[in-house]
Amino acid sequence: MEDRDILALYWQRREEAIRETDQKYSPYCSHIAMNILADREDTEECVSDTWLHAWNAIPPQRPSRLGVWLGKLTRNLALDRWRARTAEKRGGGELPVLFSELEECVSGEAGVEQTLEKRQTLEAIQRFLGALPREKRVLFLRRYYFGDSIEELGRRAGRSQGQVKSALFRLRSQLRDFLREEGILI
Amino acid sequence: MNGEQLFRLLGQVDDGWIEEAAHVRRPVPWRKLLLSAAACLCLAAALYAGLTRPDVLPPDDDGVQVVNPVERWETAEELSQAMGFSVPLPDWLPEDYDLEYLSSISRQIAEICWSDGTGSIVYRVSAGPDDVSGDYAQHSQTMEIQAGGSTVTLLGDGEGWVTATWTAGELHCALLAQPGQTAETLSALIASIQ
Repeated sequence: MEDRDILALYWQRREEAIRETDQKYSPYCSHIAMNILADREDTEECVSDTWLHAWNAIPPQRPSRLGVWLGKLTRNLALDRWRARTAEKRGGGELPVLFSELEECVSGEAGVEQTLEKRQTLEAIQRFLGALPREKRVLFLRRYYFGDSIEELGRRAGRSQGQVKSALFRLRSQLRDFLREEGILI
Repeated sequence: MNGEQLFRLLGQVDDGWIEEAAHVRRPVPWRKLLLSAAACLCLAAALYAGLTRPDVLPPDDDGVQVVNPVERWETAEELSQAMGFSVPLPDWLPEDYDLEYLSSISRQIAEICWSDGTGSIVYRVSAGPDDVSGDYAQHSQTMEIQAGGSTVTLLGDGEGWVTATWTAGELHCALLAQPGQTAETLSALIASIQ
């Protein structure tokens, strides 16, 4: 079913909307959640939460890209679930490795995030991504948005894990230098 | 900001970038596909896999999407039309390099990629005022050469030159090579751009 038809079901408050969303986007959202949570049961619950949030948000929202919107929702919910699980000392998964890699680009100190600073940093990251060749941009986002493993990225690109690690290392260094040049001290 | 905060912030990047990364599949060399019926079957299989793989967004043609900043074009003419100026193109490439894709980013940067199956050369052109290379790395080696009537800055780290930037009239141009190329190769490519 096309997205506009699924959205119409939400707006008509018909429960088939959830069934159709699950049928079309469950694999995609599950992949995002699984990369973060590394637990099948938690992933299933997280994706179910996503459908519930979507049901509550549409209407009034009408996402222009339903798949991307659902993926972002899943990612946020999975991160919150992972954070709660970590508080119970059962975090796990590859997320700490991802965080540690990204810390090379920033100060590493958790600070109070100001809305203006976040927006400036986000805009700088957008410029950084926009100027990257497509292949590098995709690699960066597959790792740091989708949370794909090094092994998976290597398989996808037809490269060795060492080559993928080197490419990601260079991208992180470039982002760090770019943010500094932009005067963004985070 | 710590790593987790940056990871969360990356969740807010432009939908177009996410969609681009979500739709990407392992590249298939076009020339081989055209030459081999067996390869056509591989393409069909790859497309089928792409539609069913969990890490790939399912296709959608609902017609309500916002314009993706990255647009693909079939021909150089279409790319030039989208950019609003005639994108100058090389008439010489290193041996075995074939066209991989033509694209525009927000219709501000034209990007053309050639590949020999393992390496790639990306050519970028913009009528804007900035460097369009996207290469923010600190390189250990820099050299200036003359090619095609322009002064070209080459950047590298001892294993060939990976970036070349130059200005041609109002246009800012860049070549990004992986693996790095010799100065002679990049110079010949730039000199052939018309």
